[in-house]
Amino acid sequence: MPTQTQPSDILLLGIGGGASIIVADIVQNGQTPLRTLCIDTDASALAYIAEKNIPTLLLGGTRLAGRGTGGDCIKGRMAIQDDIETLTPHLQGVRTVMLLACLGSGTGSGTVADVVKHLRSLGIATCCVITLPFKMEGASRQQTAERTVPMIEEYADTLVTLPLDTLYGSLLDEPLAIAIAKANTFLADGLTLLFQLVSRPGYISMDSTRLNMMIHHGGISHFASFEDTGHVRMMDLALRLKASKVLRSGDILSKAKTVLVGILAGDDLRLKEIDSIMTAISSLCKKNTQIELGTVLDNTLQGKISVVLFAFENAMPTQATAIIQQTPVSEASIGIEPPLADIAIPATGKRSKASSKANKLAAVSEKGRGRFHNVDPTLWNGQDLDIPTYQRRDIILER
Amino acid sequence: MSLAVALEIGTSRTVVSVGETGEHGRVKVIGVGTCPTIGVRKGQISDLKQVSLGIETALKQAEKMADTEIWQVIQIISGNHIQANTNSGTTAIRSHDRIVIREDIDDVKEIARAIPLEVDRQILHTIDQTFMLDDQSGVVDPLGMRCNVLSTSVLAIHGMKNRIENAVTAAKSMQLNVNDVVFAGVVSALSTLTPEQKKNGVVLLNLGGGTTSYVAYCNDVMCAAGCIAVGGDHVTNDIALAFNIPGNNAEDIKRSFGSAMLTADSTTPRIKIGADLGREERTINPRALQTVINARMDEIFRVILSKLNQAGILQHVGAGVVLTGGGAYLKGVVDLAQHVFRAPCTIGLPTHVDGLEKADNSAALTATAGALMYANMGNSRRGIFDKLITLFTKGS
Repeated sequence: MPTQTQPSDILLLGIGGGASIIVADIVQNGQTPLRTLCIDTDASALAYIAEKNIPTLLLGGTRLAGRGTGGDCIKGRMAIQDDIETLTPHLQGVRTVMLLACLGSGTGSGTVADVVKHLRSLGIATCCVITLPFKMEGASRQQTAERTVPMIEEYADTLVTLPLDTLYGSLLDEPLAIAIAKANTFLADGLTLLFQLVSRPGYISMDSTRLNMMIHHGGISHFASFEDTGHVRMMDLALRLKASKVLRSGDILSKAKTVLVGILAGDDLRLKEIDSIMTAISSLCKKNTQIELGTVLDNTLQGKISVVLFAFENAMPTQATAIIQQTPVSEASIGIEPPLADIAIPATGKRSKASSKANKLAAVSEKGRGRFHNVDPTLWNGQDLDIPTYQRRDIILER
Repeated sequence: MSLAVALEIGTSRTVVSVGETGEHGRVKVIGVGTCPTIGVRKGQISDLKQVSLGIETALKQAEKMADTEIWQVIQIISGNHIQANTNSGTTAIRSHDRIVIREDIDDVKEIARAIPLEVDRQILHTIDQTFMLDDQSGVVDPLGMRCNVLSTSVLAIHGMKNRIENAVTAAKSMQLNVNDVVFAGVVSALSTLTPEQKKNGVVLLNLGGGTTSYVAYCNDVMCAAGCIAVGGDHVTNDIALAFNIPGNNAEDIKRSFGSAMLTADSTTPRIKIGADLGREERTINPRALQTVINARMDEIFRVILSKLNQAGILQHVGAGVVLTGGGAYLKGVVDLAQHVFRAPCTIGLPTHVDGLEKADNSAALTATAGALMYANMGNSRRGIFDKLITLFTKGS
């Protein structure tokens, strides 16, 4: 009887030069069978990635002739609008996309919003991990990035924003090459840990469906990873959490509704260590915060313990509700790629977010008009413009 | 030396401006009276009594400043009901030598101006577009040229008769005669735009409290106009709902800390909202405030962008976008407009009139300044702003 290898339903997608290098680093870690794709407008940068046997896709070939955008995000946007359909064949059987992009550049800033919108139209859950440029890179790149974030926020299910100034905060004294390598390693290691968590068996499991559901409902999220070796490991995690800049000294955890904790270690992982890690994390969270734990045991990690944290601003629905809200691509879940036409049917792409949006609209239409509650509505394309735009666009405000 | 008075009953404030014609025919503003408006929402009067009181207060201020008595005004109007559409007309050249004569031009204009409108609508302005000689388009003055068929079109700006009359009634309640009713966008363009901008193609947005009016020029001709009933009040309302604060607090926060661009980061200090009756002092995230404002302003611009795109105008706008009205002073709004329209944007000031050089937020006075210019134009000089009907003359 022929056997069939089940392809992963999670795709790691790198957009632009910077993100593609991080994707290459993750692949080079080499411990996880990953589905990856790197897209860029610069053919020479893609060639470097392709040499590492990573699938690549050139955008805007006819418009930019593979020369890149030169930092112009409008060119990036035009390129993706030209070639958005070329992305679809790479998404067969994919239920979750982890998207990585460095904003501020032409390709990163110009294309991400359209890609995420396209993924959403196909019913694919997206977790966008984006980096914001250094302040020292200049106001123009900062502005480009900041203009892009709300557009991504509108369509992404989960959005993790990492300002490079924060990421490199503790690396300012390091030589540039080392600092960049360390920051890339932080991202690469963190994401590798996440993939290992869902792709390797563990005593406390975290499967891809659970991850898919968490990403579906995540909203604005934050991400951090920690590593320790030696005989006494992770005993100072509480202190490290409080010192973490990406977790804003633990403030992020105190506001999170859901926290995903992944622990990866060798056979020598002790229950006491898991308990110590969970105690440290829950000491910074609110009492009603949902904390999800997953562990992976890997012999190659002997003596080492890694912890990856995802803090989501939204609470997760119960499993029963979640199952109803899932949009499984049935063939994909048993390892057979569905026909392209099936994936492209928008009906399969009904999103919990979209439906909650509709519910929200229904709810706010009665009371969300404020001072315009008893005047003729201003209608445009079927929308009541008197209702606050942020409500209709389902924008979650950072409180 | 003649005096003219303009009255604008805006959603946020009522403005009365008095102007006199100077030596070189330029209008000089000699008196301005303003009063916060109560009883107008989205440009529509909802409480006539309160509106009348606002007019009275602004009127008295303006009379005192200009040292004159006001009894007639040009009234500025805006609102969702204002619409514009074009109507074309064609005529065959009457002479055997096929040379266009004055009568041909008058004929074709008259045909184009016979605009079929519903009975409840009232024309405010008719604006002549360029002529077409047989298949040659874009002719500015066809007199003396040869062709078989002469065509032209007219842009008609019109509004709901009842709503226009309600605004006039408010003015009349203060014993004012309304000499003319003009659209805010048209008169703002008069006081603000330069001939060069009009020639190169420009869009003017008048960001008011309850409405946003727009007019677009292509090749020196006003080719589109309109209004949406969304303005600065919506921004204030969004802030009030987002942070659960009263409208007046929301307005203050918008003016003091608001930005249409997302510039705040985690290092930006939180905004303090002082304690109020039944409410403790608290702080709000500046990033969240900017997100609320950015979303609303982005949407306003995109609605107008879409309307201009539908009219096929945007590609002819070489001189960019000019922002006027009180909303033009919202921080970051120029950058956002630039981003949305992908064209250079500036704040438009009433540079074609004198006397407002030292006024604060003079972009908010462009409509009344333009109305004074409009009043100062003789009927012959109004040119493209020919009125078909002037209903609201003295004694009517």
